[in-house]
Amino acid sequence: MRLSELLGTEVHDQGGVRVGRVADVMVLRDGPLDENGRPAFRILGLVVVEGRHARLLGYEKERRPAVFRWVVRRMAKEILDVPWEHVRSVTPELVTIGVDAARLEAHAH
Amino acid sequence: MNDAANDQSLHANLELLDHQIVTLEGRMVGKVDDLEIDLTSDPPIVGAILMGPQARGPRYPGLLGRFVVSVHKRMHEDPDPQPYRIPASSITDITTAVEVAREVPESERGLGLWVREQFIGRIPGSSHETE
Repeated sequence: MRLSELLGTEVHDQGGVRVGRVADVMVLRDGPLDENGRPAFRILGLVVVEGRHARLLGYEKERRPAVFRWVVRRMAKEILDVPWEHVRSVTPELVTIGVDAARLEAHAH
Repeated sequence: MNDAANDQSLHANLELLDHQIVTLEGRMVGKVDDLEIDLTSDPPIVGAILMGPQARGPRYPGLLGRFVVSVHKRMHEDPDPQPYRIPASSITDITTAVEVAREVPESERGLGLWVREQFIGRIPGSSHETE
């Protein structure tokens, strides 16, 4: 699968409630080693955005100026982390997670 | 290898996709047009960087995307051209660019260079006057 196929895909929780859309995929280079001893980029989880604008702009943690923060927040609303262990199924049309949306934590980065 | 490439988590879309790819010698060879993710492996991993019109084209909306893929396919020697793959394990550093320990053939150096070679370069007067 390609990353671009996953971005923008709807995410639903185990009760069928819409959580948002995939805005990003978090990775960490601590995966299995290749034949040259270099670790793979392991997928840690998904970043899901509830608002209309399903894309992170890179300014989400900026606090000032307040107007700027307000505009970014209006576009994104909730930004949530979905650890990969909660992901149940992935298709280009729908990602299903095995946890209620209310139990997801805000994106920490 | 710096910390960002090894010890910290990264946003694949924000910090990798569309970023410039450079070789160890600092030569710019294209952009990260897409990433191949392997969800069947345990754990799931990023398998490769994908480059070129067959990777970038499908990301363009509607007709434009299909046009890019179709034209590239018609002009390619291979009847079923695939994106050029750079194994993600070849990444040695991630800053504003993505450094890879791998050479990329000139024929595979991204959509921009391909358009320049196939179209812009054929327009009379397109070469630099000092060339």
